[in-house]
Amino acid sequence: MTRAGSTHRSRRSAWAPTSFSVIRGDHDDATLVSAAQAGDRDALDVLLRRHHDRVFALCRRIMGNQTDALDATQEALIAIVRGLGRFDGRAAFTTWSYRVATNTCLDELRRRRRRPDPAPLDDDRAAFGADPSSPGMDEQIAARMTLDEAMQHIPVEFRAAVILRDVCTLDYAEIAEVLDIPPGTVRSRIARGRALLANRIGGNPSPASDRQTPPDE
Amino acid sequence: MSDFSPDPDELASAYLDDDASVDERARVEADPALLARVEELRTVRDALRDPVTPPSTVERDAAIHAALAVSNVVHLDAARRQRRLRVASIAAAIVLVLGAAGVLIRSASNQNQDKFQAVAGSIGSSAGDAGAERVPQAASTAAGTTGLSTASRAALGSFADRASLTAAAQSQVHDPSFNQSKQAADSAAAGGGTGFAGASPPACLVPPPPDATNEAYAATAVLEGRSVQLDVFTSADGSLTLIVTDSTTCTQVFSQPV
Repeated sequence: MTRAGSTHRSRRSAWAPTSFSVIRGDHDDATLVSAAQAGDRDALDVLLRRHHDRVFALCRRIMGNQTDALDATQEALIAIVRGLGRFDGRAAFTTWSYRVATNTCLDELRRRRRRPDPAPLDDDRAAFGADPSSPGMDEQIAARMTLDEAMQHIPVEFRAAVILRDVCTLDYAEIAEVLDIPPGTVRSRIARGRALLANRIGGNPSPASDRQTPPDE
Repeated sequence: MSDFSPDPDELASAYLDDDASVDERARVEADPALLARVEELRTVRDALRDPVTPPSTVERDAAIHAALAVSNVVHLDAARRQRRLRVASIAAAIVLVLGAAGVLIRSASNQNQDKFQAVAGSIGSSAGDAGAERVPQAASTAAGTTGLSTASRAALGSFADRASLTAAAQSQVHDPSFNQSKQAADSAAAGGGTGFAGASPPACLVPPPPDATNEAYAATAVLEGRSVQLDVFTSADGSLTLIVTDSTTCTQVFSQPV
């Protein structure tokens, strides 16, 4: 097993650029991206592992449940790998990967608009159920469900802007870049999305406004 | 006068994000309702910032391996493109080399032909010279002199003296089937192509008499134990002249009317 692994690695080392022959986790994104673009599979592996959780958190919030988030995350990582050759490094890799992941999730949600709402959130209960000794678990589950349910009623364009701001902590300019919209529109979309969520969670749903489309669409 | 005033939720949201202008901040802080809305939005923001349930290691590895597998496909495609490019490059190189070789061969062939023509021309211009040159058939033909290779010539046989050889040649020229045999000889000469006629040694280039119009007959024979070639030329007045040349030295042995 070890022998086979070392053989595989040495074959890859011969193929990979010399300067990236030893990829470590402390290389910065730019270095890893360059190596990955040159065909270094180890660099790509490190890059994907480094950004997986961020991408998953984004997908989890946009998709609204664990199962869909896992699917969307995998699709997003595949899209990242496929698009890596076109990444020119002008934006940070994190910002670019958020853009790819957001588009992947929004595309999937738009496809699902024509299909019945799956809406089961049992996977969240199962996830929490794995550690029943956690304090305040019921409250956490209830809050999470409320948030996820509320999220499903927010137009996806508002939802994405709010999540990029509050989950990914991007600033308005970065969100504008990710969503390819003007910064002013970012500000209004975040405000509208937060307001709709607050109304939903606070027991003040306003169905009429929930169903409106973004003003700039 | 400016009636434009941002939506209260937008003001509260911008305030929360520290993205509000000084005026907007002042307006929010002066309005308890807006401040209350800021707190509601903050609650939403904090809820969103709660960490999500992370995927298991297996789920994470599966996603990453799936992406890496795509990377393999991408690299395979790239490798395939490179391989096709390499094959195309090799094919193009082969075509170029063959083309260049063809041009070189043709050029060399033309140079040889030019050289032979120059030699034949110089010989033709010195028609009175009794000497003969060994040149390929094509060159001699172009110069209007005889040059049928030895293989293309009829073999008359062995003769002990010039008289019997001359008589044999005379009988051949005046034989009714002479034209047929001559045509056969011409055809054989033409089939020899532009180079040396197969493995047969080229015949000696025999300068025709000054008033010769064409070669009427060509043959080989053995005269007094040495190989000779016979060339019979037709002159403008219709007379025939036999020229016998030593095949080995290409020197004229004798000539006489037949």
